[in-house]
Amino acid sequence: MSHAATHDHHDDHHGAPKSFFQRWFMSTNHKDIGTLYLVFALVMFFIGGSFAMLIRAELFTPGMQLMQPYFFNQLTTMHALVMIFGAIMPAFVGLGNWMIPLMVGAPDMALPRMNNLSFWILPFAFTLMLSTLFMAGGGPAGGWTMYPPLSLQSDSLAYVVFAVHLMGISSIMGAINIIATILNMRAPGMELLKMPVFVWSWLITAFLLIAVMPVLAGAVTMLLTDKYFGTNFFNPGGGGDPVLYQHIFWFFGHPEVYIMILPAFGIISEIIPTFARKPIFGYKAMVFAIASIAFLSFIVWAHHMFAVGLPMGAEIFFMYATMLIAVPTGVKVFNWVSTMWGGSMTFETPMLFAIAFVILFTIGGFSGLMLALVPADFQYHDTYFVVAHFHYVLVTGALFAIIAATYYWLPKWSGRMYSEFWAKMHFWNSVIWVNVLFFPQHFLGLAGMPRRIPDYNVAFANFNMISSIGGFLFGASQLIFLGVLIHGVWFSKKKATDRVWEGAKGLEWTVPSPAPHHTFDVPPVIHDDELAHGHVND
Amino acid sequence: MPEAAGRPEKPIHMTQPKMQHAAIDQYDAERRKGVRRTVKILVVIAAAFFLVSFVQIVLMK
Repeated sequence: MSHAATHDHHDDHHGAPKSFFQRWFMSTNHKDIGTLYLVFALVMFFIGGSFAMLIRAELFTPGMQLMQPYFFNQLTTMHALVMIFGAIMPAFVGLGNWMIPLMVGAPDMALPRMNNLSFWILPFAFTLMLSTLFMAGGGPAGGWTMYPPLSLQSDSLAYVVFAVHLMGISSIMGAINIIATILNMRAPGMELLKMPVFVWSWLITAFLLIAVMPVLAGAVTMLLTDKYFGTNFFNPGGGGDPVLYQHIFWFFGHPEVYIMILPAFGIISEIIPTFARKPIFGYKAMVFAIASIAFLSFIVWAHHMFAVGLPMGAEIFFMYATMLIAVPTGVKVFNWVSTMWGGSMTFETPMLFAIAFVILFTIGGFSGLMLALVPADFQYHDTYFVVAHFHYVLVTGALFAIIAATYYWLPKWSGRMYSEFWAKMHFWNSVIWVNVLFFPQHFLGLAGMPRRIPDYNVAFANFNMISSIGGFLFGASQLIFLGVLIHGVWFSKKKATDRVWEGAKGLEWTVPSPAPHHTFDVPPVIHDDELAHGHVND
Repeated sequence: MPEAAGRPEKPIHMTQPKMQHAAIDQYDAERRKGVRRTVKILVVIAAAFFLVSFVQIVLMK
């Protein structure tokens, strides 16, 4: 008998529908829907990655190599839209779906049928958006920000706006579900300030989503009516103002950046204590730091617009507000390092990715501070320095956290241990080539190379070639990840134990591996010593 | 490092006390009521932010 709970029907191994269609298309189970989100995100990651490979191939040497400039612009636009809305966000939602109910002792999400709908909207939205690449006028080419009047020139605007609406509806429904689950479905004794940091990070992220996705919907609806229904929200000829679009877009766009990084903070706060074998240092400070970052994210949007001609007072305000974010972020980095300090650390793949996250995300944070300075931003604006900055934040930040979480929880999901050797091969290749890919882009930006161009001055040739080589090898490294996943899910002979990792604590490790189809039908009673962060009031 | 397989340590869930059935029914009813209330509030917030984006544009013009 491996698990007593199986026998008292506390955890049901046998509840999954037998038919493939019923299980995967009509599922209301949080684990199955979590898996669907994660698989979808992986597919989108490779599609968005293939666009990135084409972009780097075009930029390998100066001059036009492989494609027309308009198609290059479509690639940069689609790469961003697919990676942001199709890969990073759904991956976090998938991790939340899988782990939040397990971490708070809930039997499922609060609204399981809405959960199914939230997911199944996404494949339609992305099919619609990607199909524009095959249409006569081509796909959207005005950048993921869709600034008018450029975006209004695209024939595919209506398709993209409809796809963005669908993604927004999916995200809002997902966020409502997550908040309702966390606020109402926690097991008795799981008080708010005893919840794992990952759950806290998702609670705060979900509030951000509910506040800003409707604003994006409003902004793109106005684009649509400007193009097709004769309104002039953003048309100066009719009394409108295109800069207003930028304000409203970035009121969504900056919190969106934190939507993509706060759950990553939560993941890292779960992994580091496990492999340092210590409770997280400053649990409450970690939670309040996430909340502070979320609040500040609403009052910094215009730092994306320093170059449009804002009043000096506004530029000073947004500069200082942006720099203020470094304070709670610094608290988090300090606490992660303090958690590791004096711990009995071991360096399995999730921990390696978590440590890489702390170091490389901090580099992205520092370049963000540089961009926050108004006079400096006038030099950096729209250069490759910005590209380097946000890729350090989103690739070595958000993506590395997602990969770390996958290695950390995969044995719990599949019941099998992945190959540690190949996972470490994946780590070392990723961490080396990602720096070869993005670090030279800082120098390109400082030297004045603009972003979103298919051709460039020969002075930028060397760093572009290095960056492209890094890009190809980073892309190839992700095929190792795919191999490790396939082996770890279906072919590994090494079974995972319930707790999986020696230092792991928290409710998710109290259920069998693989996690049964139904868990916590009878709510567990929580004791402080079973929680990852120990006694909170100590 | 991965936990050693076949370790004789007792899984935590075996030692955890569970709630009684009567308490669970009441707990479920409260949860359902709480979920309905939470969803209503959140839908109102989302709708308000959608409308505010239009109002903001009109006011700024």
